[in-house]
Amino acid sequence: MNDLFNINRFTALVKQQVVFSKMTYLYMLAAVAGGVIVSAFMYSYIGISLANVILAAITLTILFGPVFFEKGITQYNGVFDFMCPVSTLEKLLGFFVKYMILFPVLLMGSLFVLVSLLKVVPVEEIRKFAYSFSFQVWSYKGIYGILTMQAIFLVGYLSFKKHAFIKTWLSLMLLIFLGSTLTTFCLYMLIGQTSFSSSMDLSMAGNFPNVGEDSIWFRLLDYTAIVVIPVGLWVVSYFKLREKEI
Amino acid sequence: MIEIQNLSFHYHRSRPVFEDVSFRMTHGIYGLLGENGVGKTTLLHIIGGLLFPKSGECRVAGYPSYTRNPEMLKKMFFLPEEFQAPAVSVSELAAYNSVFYPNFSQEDFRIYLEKLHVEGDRKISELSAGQKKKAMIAYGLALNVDYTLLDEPTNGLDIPSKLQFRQLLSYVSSMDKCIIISTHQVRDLAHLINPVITLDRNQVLLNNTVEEITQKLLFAQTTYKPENVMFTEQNLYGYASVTLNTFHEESVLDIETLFNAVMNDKETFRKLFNA
Repeated sequence: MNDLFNINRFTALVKQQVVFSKMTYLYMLAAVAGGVIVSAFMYSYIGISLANVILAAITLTILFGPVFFEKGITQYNGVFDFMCPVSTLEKLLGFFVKYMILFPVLLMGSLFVLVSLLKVVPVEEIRKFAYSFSFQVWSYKGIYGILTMQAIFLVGYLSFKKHAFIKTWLSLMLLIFLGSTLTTFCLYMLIGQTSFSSSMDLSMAGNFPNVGEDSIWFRLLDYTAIVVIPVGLWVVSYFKLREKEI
Repeated sequence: MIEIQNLSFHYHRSRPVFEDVSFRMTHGIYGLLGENGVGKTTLLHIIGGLLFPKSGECRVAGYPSYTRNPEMLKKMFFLPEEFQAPAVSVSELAAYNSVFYPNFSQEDFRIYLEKLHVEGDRKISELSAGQKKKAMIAYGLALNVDYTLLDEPTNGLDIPSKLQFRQLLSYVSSMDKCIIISTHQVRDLAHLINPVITLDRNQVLLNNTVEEITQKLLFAQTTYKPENVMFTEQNLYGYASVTLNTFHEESVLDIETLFNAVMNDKETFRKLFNA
């Protein structure tokens, strides 16, 4: 069990990662603060709100964090990381803590704090600017979606030696294209149509249990997908990390 | 112990780096020699678990190296020839990395840094290539691990630093440590290396201690060109030669001449030392 996971070792790894990335965190905080302050002044003087731009930038930073902030794994910079006496699981959990907890908390938290502070500033325009921020995109579903996409880019980072960002995007597009093509083909083979429409003959549907969106089966499928997809991506990341050669 | 059993490895199938190679490394300062591209760095990477054998196995302290078991890794330190270090100070790097190594000595680290003239509070990214290497050498030796892998450690070091490095190496080496140094600069480490491993394409030509080598071979330096020797080459001082030590005379190993002799007639030396 000690070979797989040791809490003291893991804690030491997280501390090491935080210290070695401290400048990155500082720059991110500075960028958020700078962006909010500049946008507040822009709104005050010319009436343009960059609130959505800031929210989008932070969302994308969290989404693409693994490919943007992790150095490419090469023989020049991977040796010390891969020979650090921690297990593969601990390394993966280190990624988890860094990108799924620390990054989002730091970025989203700092924005939330700054906006809250701006709401009490005794300048009407700045308060209006602060209230223009809508954090609905960061609902539970929204954050879940961001972290699932982030897991895809983590798999990409661990799979590709160079240009991980572009290659992951292209792979994702290719996968979506192939999935759509396969779905269209299956639809055509099954019902002779390439899309669902109101003129479809669904007389056979009555012979089957209710499979609408409210059905228990659909919900079961939904909840399974919600758990399986991100967990599955992290499991893939574990095996990619374990098999990584430098 | 590092055990390599029937190891085969290739980057491309048509050009194997190792083919069914077996040997062991126990303790001592191993000099890993070979021409460019024979696989010295590859071997170090396989031992360190950074590359995986295509067939056969490599075990370090009983653990298969490819598993990167933490219990194995905490007994090992690898200094590559070129590396990028994080943007922290030398002291911070040691402070946050050494926690994984139970035998790290802060006092030794301080002494080694002093001897190599590296300031601990400087950021590694601000150091020159030679200073970075010295900082990592000081850190690696202060870890007091059982297995130390060094790839061209003297590259980039100035002359006084090379002397200090040799002294540090003699100081830290002991009966229970295995230090493997891959190097072309054999003169920098000539009197320290023991045993000597010479690699060739796909095979190990030599894996012998200095005593075993000097029992079988006689090294001489003469002002005239000798005859009836296994190998001779001209140098600044005359001729260096290698011949069979038939009468078991006292012989002083000349690593550079040995290497050139082995490269000149690989089969003879391989059979002689039964590698």
